[in-house]
Amino acid sequence: MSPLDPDPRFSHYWSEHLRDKVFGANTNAFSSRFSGFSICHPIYLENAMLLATRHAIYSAAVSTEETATFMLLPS
Amino acid sequence: MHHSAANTHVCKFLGTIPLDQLQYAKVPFWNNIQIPLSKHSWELQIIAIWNTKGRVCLNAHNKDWLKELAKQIPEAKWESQNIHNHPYQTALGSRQHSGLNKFNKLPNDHPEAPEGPDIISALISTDQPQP
Repeated sequence: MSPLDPDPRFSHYWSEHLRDKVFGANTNAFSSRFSGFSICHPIYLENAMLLATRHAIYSAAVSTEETATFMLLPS
Repeated sequence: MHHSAANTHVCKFLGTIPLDQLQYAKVPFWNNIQIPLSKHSWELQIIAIWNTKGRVCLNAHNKDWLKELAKQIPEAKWESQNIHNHPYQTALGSRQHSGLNKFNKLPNDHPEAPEGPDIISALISTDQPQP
């Protein structure tokens, strides 16, 4: 998302554009584990959905913390 | 079947929002002009990807959390009424495998993704207690 999009209640957000670092964005959504409880509604591109699903699986499987990611995926 | 079927021990298919019940929020443009969205042709599937600690935490917080969630999304068709705390069986047997090993068997990060429905069907959990 762009720096204009994130909910201000969230302490972190991610953007695919490196330049958004100056606005406090993280730039690689898969650079850290999903942890805690979250909703994931990825963009509807096959590879993006696969990567998000795979990352959620990996995060849940290796995490020692409570982790639950609710995926919303088109079929 | 897609290779992520090996990860059913952390995945649970919860339900589906049918095509005719699915509505996307209209996103206002900066000058309040509504952006028309094309009519969708898909359902939306709700899948939980979690570890046992996550499920235990949810049930401890509210044992009826899934029923409460269903009330919040009444347009969805829910597959389950309750979520158990016990570890899920894997597709390959009753022993829970290391997720890291399974993750390594997934494909590289290049565009070779399978069709969407195959991903979904491969994620459906058996939800059976371990012996």
